[in-house]
Amino acid sequence: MTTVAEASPANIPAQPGESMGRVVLGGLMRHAVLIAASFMMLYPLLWMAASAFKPEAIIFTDLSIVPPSLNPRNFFDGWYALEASFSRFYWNSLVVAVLVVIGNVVSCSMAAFAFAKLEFRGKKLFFAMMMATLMLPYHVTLIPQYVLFLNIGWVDTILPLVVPKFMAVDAFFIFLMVQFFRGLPRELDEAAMIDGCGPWRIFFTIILPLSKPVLATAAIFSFLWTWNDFFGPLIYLNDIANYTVPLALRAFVDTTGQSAWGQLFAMSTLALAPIFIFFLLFQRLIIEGVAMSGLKG
Amino acid sequence: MTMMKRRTFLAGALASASAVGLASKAQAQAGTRIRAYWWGNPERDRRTRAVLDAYQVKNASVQVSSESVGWGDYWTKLATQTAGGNPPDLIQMDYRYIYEYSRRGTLLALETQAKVLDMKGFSAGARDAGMVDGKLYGVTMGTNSKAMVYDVAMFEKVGVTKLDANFTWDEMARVAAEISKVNPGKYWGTADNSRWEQGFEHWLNQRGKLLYTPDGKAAFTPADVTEWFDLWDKLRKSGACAPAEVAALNTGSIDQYEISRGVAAMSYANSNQNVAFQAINKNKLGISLFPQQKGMASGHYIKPAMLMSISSKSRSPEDAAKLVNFMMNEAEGAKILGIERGVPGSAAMQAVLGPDLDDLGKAQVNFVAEATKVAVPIPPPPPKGAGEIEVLLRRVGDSVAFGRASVKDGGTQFHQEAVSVLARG
Amino acid sequence: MAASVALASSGQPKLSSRFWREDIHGYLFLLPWFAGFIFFTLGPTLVSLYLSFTKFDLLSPPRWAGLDNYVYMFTQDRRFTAALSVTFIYLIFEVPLKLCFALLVAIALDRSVRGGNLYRAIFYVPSLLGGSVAIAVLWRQLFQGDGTINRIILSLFGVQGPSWISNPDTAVYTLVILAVWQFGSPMIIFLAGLRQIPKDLYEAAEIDGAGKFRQFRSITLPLLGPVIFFNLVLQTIEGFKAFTPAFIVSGGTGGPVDSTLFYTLYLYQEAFANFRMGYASALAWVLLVIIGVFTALSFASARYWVHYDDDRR
Repeated sequence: MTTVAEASPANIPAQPGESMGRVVLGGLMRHAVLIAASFMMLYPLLWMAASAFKPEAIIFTDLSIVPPSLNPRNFFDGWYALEASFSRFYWNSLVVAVLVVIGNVVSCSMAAFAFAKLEFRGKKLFFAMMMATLMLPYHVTLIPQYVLFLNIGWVDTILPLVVPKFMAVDAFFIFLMVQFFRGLPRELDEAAMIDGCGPWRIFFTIILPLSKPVLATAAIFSFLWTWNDFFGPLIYLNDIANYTVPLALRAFVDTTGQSAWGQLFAMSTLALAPIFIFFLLFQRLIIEGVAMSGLKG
Repeated sequence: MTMMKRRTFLAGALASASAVGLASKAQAQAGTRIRAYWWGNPERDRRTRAVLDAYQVKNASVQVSSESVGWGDYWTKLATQTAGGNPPDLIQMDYRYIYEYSRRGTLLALETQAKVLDMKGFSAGARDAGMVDGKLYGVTMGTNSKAMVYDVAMFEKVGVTKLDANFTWDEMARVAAEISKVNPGKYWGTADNSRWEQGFEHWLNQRGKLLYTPDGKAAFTPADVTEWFDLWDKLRKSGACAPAEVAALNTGSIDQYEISRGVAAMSYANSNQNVAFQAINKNKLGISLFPQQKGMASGHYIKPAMLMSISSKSRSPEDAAKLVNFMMNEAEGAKILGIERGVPGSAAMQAVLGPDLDDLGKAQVNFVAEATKVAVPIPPPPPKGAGEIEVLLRRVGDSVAFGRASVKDGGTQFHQEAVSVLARG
Repeated sequence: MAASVALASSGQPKLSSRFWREDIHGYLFLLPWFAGFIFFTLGPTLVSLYLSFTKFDLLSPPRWAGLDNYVYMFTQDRRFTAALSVTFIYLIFEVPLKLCFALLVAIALDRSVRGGNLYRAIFYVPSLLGGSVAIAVLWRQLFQGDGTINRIILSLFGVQGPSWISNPDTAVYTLVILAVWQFGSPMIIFLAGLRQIPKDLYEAAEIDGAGKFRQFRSITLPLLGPVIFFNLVLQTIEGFKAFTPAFIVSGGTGGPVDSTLFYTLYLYQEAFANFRMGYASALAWVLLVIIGVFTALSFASARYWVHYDDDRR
């Protein structure tokens, strides 16, 4: 590893030995494989979308992904099926998800910087404690936590879903960022230190700008998991007007009685749109990456 | 719980955070505020919300908020809220859970509200269904009975056009075997009911036995279980009944029943669910009594499809009781709710609803009337641990069906484990 | 070199030691975490530990029971052992398969494939769906007796396969496949990791005449070490805590015949369906110890195969 890492940069060489024809053929093959794989990945989504257009009597026996009609009735009916409309649920979900993204990225990156780059007494112990919080199933802390939030008057508000995230309770993201921060070359912060930078400046001017991919990753996961999270909202939100999208979706299905399947699938399909868009926007930050090469060697 | 006290100091420490302005609107409102909680679906939500609104129009000082989630999540949330000391005022109850909740003092004995909650119009059976240990803890919102759901066309195909008390277990076996021949290996006469606890209970009731004693012990013997497993084992072996792999796919949600999946002509469920079964089925479905045993009881009893209870912690029990009365005893309320939750317990309300019923509704009302004629007394409410035993029968039943345990060993195993579940508490 | 795991506290460059050892900065950066830990995590965690020594039926106050829950678990509870073995089987297959798959796809899509953005988004869709009803329905349609998979097997080999998803011998593997199919999250993390590897390393290797495989072995793998380590540790933890796949496919029953009774599914049943929160808490703490041991072993092994750039001198 060391030898490679210390090799000097050079221009990209032309790929020798690959004729034009082979490149095209290889490209076609690759796309054929990718398209086939995409189909396997998308099938449930397509089925779900098609089911929104099917009569309920055939939904469970029909595997086709071709909608038999294009009557958008389920989309309109589903949107207004509950006491509050989905506009309301989207807004609730969006507020929670955006706040959680901000909370996680800010607080977890700070904690991760401390664990990855700073030295202080008790670090090993704190790190172990943080990792331990990942290991206890949440079902057993649920009730004490509920009592806690009830007593500070937060039940039936979004505060229990949001405020803890500003206090770095998601050890997943801390550990993730620790691993990436440690991958940044130490020469950088050493150089900055010699120039007289304190840890805060190093954090803001060196570590964060170089960590765009991992910050974007954390943002994507925070948004997605919060958007899809069902259990937290179930426990803490009471009034239907405060429901988030996944909680509202559960109201369509009664496993012991009648369910609005068509509306459920219509609304479930729509519910994917925000996360899909968020993903597309933020994955650019991952893919663009950071120009690290110039800093090396 | 002691932790509440210990945690109050946090209230001060974090009060500033809740001042952000996101705090619930609910906290600071004048007048009575009632939280109504039920499980359901959009149709039920719409009806329930309408009835709550109608009540609020007449009683402007009362504010009712609705909280509704699906069946599976309902109990987790209710347990959490109850454990946390923050239960809703109105709680939709199920027969399976009323014992658990009432015995621990979490529900209000409704006799205390007799002034505003009138149970006189209820039939004795419907009223007593909400009783635990001699006190009323729930008002039946609708009655039902177990019912066999069947595919009408399939039955006609093998020459059966009418199902009555002559539809015995033997006749069922014959018809089912015939149906299985129509589309061999793909479609069977009957779903495998050996793994459904309520099916087993029903079969015991036919023989004048019970599943549980009134003090919550196992009232059946290993030999009973073995005989039950043997009944279904023979049906499986003759091809009348769907095989283990097909049965195991039914995990208890309506869309997973064999009849909904289009793999069997008979499934076993509750009469008020027939609307739901029909909604996801192309073919016309009928409901009928379970297969009978000549010279024995029908095994059917009339039970509450759902009950409405009031929390013992409710700050305004009287208003909550008035609201229940509005839903159950007043024509305006009853009309809005309809028979979506089952046939109303009050005869007067049944009469009010009669003219508006559609075909499915009529079939349901007729079925309950039919079942009432032959009904056995309602067994005592299921004891603590009953939910676990339901899962247990599914597990042991599957293991017999898959041939991992013999019929006899299965019978012994189920009895043994059920006894220890009930003893463990 | 590389003498330490994630928590290196010794061997820092002399030059910086005084500066970095100013503990106060570390504590300041950790302040939000401290606050969250003390306010939101510590209390409920300790309460759950306390509850594990009680009988607590959720509806009435907990009663002290000493070690009863733990004794019952290790001496009498056959479902506990069943749940543990189901979870281990799941874990052994799911973690390596999912990680290899995620890494391969991340590498394949990392290079400038035309439409890469779109493919990545599409490959992430299964993870977006999470525990949706649609997945439950389709997984059954795929793996049941006359399902899609068996129709393919029948047409290719002329053999009728079993109902994979409802057969106690095979059900858990259909859940493994489901989990592997939802490989999006580790894939994204690998992608982010790949982006952190300086391009010039590959360019240099290319000049030296190293082939693609050689580049993968001597550049990608070593430099991706910390990220692979992260995914390994986290996927193992998540695997132990797996809940959703079994919950949606078996309707929360863990059937058939407990063959998909994941540990946390059993725990959930005990807590909320069987009203034994005390016992469920004991189950949770035993799980914490098991996961803790595995995680500690991973960290211990990491010193031999995970190298951090900031170890380099």
